[in-house]
Amino acid sequence: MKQYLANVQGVDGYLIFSMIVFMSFFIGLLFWVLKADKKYIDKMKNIPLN
Amino acid sequence: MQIEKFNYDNKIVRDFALATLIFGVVGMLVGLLAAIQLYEPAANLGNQYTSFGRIRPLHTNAIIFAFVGNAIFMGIYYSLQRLCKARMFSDVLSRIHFWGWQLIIALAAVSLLLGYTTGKEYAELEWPIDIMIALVWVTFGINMIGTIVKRREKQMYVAIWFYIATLVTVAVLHIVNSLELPISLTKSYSIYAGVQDALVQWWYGHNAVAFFLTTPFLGMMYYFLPKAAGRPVYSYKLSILHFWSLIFLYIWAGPHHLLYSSLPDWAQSLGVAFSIMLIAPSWGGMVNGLLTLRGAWDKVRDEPILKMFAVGITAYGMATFEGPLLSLKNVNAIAHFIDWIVGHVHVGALGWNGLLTFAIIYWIIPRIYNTTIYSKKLMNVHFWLATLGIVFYAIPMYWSGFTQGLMWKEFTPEGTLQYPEFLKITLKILPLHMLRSFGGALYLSGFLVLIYNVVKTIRQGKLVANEAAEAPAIEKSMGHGSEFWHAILERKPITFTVLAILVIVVGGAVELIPTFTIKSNIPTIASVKPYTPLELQGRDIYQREGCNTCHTQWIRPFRSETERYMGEYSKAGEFVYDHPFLWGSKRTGPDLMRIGGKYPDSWHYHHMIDPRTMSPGSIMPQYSWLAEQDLDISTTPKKLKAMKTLGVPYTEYEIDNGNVSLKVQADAITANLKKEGIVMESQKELVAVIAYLQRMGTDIKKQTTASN
Ligand code: HEC
Repeated sequence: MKQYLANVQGVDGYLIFSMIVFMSFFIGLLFWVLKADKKYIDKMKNIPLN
Repeated sequence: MQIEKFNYDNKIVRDFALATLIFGVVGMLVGLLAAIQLYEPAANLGNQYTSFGRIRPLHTNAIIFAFVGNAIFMGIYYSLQRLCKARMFSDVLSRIHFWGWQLIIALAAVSLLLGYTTGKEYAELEWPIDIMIALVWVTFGINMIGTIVKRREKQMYVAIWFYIATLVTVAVLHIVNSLELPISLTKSYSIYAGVQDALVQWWYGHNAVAFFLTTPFLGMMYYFLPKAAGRPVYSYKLSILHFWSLIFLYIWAGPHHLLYSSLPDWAQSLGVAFSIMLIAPSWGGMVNGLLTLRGAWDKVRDEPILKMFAVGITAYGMATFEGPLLSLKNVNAIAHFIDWIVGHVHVGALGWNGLLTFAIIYWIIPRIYNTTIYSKKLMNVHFWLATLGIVFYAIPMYWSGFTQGLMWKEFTPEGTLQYPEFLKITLKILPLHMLRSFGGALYLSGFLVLIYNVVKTIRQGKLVANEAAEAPAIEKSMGHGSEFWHAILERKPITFTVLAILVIVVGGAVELIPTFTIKSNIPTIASVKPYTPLELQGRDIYQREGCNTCHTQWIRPFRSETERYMGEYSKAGEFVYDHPFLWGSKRTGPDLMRIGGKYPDSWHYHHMIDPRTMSPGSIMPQYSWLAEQDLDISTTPKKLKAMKTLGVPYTEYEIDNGNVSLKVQADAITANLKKEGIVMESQKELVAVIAYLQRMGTDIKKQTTASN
């Protein structure tokens, strides 16, 4: 029974943990990308065509 | 600023391109043969080397690692040099990489036909080849990172990140999944057992799709599509977002291959959640690709290369929408084990990998031969043959999948199965399988058109083995305060690589570690005992013949399955001695988890010699050679000892007397057969297979009898 409970808790704990990790990663990423310098982005875009 | 002159190595690109063509034909022909075997058992050609269980892994390995693999190297060697404005780091490493990879392919083909297999999908190759793969991969890695380090373009374009992610992740996946204990040069046991083995395998299998069939192609899309369209990618910001979320999410989603299995619940939920979230970055990539073509649709209409890109990217979008859908538990309940999955995979392989590969070949070949394509008309013919091939492949598979999935589950109003006879359902879908092989043949014929066109193009041009180029040397000055963080990262390939490794290792660890550390995740069952020596040998033959390519050993907790397979659903504790797990992933034949004791030995004897005597119309291959070949019992002590090392509780006495007890059990089976008028010597392989089949899934029944 104890083992069973531990497993059930594991489900939530794991999901919440991994969601938090991903979300913080993603929000940080989004923040930085939105801040990106337009000149830099344009330059990068054109690298294959140069 | 100083302008430097250098050469691009086009010869290595050409070599990989030719290998792509050769192995494309081989892989597709073998696939066609396998498809025909599924409605015409005579196409197994009556010998062990070409029977379905061995041909199927040959097909998947040839397509993934030989055809697509060489195509990836072709695309990377071409685009990386140009994006870095530098020749490949070392010509010697390039050659070692090329010939090493082709050698691996040759060895793989021979060993798979001989039945040397680890039994793990897309990782079937035995340990010596695994080591070679690791070495050649490292060669490729040094060559690639070396080129990036000595580049003349300050920033790393998005394509290069995808290449780096591919490089590091495939290395990690390959090593973790291939950990095995060798018995001999051609045989090993996975160090993981049962549920753990399944989890590691599908973590690998899923991410092989992600990092071998997806990321390198996204990288190539980001280079070749703007090139072919003559315009930059739609949104560079989107590509940053899409890259990091894709590699982050993919690595967690593997358990969706194991829903309703005996995998712990938390792992299943994790797999589902991350699979659904994967739609976002996948579609980010698709949208970015398709929108690159916005306002250029007139160009798309008369440029077959762009048409191939457009359809290929759309196929990617379809497959990556379907994937998360398939991982929803209630969809998966029907979709798993059926032809829908085969359809899904081929939309990806034929549509995304195939069409992009073709487009890139059509782009590269005339350029490195300094000419134009021999015939644009034939390119169009190819485009249509390929597209129609995909349609004729996919639609019959979806149709047959749904038919199959629904018939398996259908009950009468009285509450019994509507179609208790498995074979009846199989026979019903055979016409659809015939149609599928027609689709495959169309696709292959299109590929032959490409080969003709390419050969003609090569004849009319001349290889520019070393293409002259020039670029300013890179400036040494780095950073001035408020620079965009990603720009800094892009100048530091090593840091970038480490970061990418970190992202995938964290995801991988979260997914894998708990099953390794928490013992309670796998409740043990007291009545489950290790296999006897004879059963163990039989199991290895089961693995060698690839029975698991058609049969699952995994009864899900649905009434339709416990009813059909006459027993309890599969428990994690039943697999603790299974190195490797042999759950299978496709039910072309019925599940065998509870086959033990279902039929008398004689039934199996007749069925294995010729399945159609016991099951008229069966599409199972015959295995008559098992009754002719002697079992190699010299390996018994070594196998038992290896199992003991891996934690299977054999005693010293059992190991030392392995062959004695093997003989006793074999004699008992032949005596049993003799009562039914069948004469067979007890040293034949078939005896071991029968012993294994009769044992399968029976231990748990002893427990119920004991407690009653
Ligand atoms: C091409 C796919 C395929 C392969 C490979 C294959 N089988 Fe089968 N098998 C079937 C099909 C279809 C059936 C159902 C019809 C029948 O009974 O023959 C079946 C039925 C069976 C059954 C009877 C199951 C039951 O509950 O009635 C057994 C036992 C069996 N196979 C064992 C094996 C073994 C052992 C191997 C490997 C040596 C093997 N099969 C390889 C397709 C396959």
